[in-house]
Amino acid sequence: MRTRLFPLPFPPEDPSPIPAYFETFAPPAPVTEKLEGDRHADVVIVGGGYTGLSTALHLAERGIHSVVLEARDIGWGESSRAFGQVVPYLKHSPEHLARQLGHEVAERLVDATGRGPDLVFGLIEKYGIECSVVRNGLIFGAHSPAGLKTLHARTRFWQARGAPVDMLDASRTEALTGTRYYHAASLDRRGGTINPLAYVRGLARSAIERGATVCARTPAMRLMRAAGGWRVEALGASVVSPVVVLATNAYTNGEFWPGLGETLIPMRAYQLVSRPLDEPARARILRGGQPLTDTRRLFSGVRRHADGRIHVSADGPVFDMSAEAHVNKVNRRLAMLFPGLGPLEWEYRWTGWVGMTYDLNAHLHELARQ
Amino acid sequence: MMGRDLAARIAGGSDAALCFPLTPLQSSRIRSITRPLVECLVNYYRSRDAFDDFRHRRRRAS
Repeated sequence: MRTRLFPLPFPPEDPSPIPAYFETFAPPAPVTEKLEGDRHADVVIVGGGYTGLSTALHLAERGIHSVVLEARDIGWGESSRAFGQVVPYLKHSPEHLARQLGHEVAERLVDATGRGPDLVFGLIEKYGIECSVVRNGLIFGAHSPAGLKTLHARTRFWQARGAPVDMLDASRTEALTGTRYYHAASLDRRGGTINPLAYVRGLARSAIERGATVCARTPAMRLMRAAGGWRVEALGASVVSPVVVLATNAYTNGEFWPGLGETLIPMRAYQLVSRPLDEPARARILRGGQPLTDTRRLFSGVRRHADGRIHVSADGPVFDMSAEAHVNKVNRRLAMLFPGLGPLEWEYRWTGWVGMTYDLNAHLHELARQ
Repeated sequence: MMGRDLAARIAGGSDAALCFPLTPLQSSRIRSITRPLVECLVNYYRSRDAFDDFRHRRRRAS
């Protein structure tokens, strides 16, 4: 239900397009099917982003046929608009998760998250997904004494589990990133970067090749009980299935399943990509090829693409349906990190909606049983 | 991870094997004031980050 006094945005109505920059380097979207008539499937999946398509692919590996219904194009939501880092962390620390979820559940979640990049890079390799993959680690700078303490604790935690995570001193950090801003940083070699649009299209193509049915531009309109399970109606056609997966995240239509939309807070995220740097700057800035984030609370990501462009995650209005990133703030931050770089010209800009939850954890709900 | 989990569960896997635990669908009691609350929180984080940057510059200068 949308409140009147302080209404939250409704991302399904946001027409802002898929990032043109990622489109440049992504293979075309796979050909999808048109949903016609009344069909049956083992599983219906609503939402053609990472979760929906990964579910379809993993089901196909088990010989289970699914029909994926995506309201717009493949990866329309945050799946194509993300920063493109593959990270082995969650928002909360392992200690916090243990307090929230209990030791056993938290342990399973933290362990799986730590191996998350292996899963993603494994799928990329297994299915030959072309998505500009670079796996040479992630750098996290300590922007404050408290941040340094956090990084040390995180590094010790993962080192104790045998993960390839190391602290870097100031000179090593500067050697890899070109900034003297940080007294120390950590390098986590499990992570890396991808072109998120290319990755989500690769998931779709792989799922289709293994028997899944993917229908783009097919907004699911109604979900109701039916003989044989559930009926999902879309564009005058329908699919009946014993199992329905709703994987729409921030783009959830709250009227599709009462209450589901109310568990999410759609928040706008902004990305900027510059014109290519000149050769001297390329040789100096982020020369190790790792993306750089730090321990500040908001928007610290900087990465350099293979074509020499700087890509940043940016701050901006959180809930506005039509809004611009705080570009001056980005420029000030980059000047702080890389003095002498000069003002950058931002050639590509895009936004998308991230689905936050009230406890900042990802959630899996079982909405009903047959 | 969630896609792999969902597929395993649909294929008959147990709840105990899920990385993400199944949680009940609960609406928040602060839903109606989420927008101003989050805006305040984000502004607080912005000011904390700005303060950290200020202290960082001061430490560097000294």
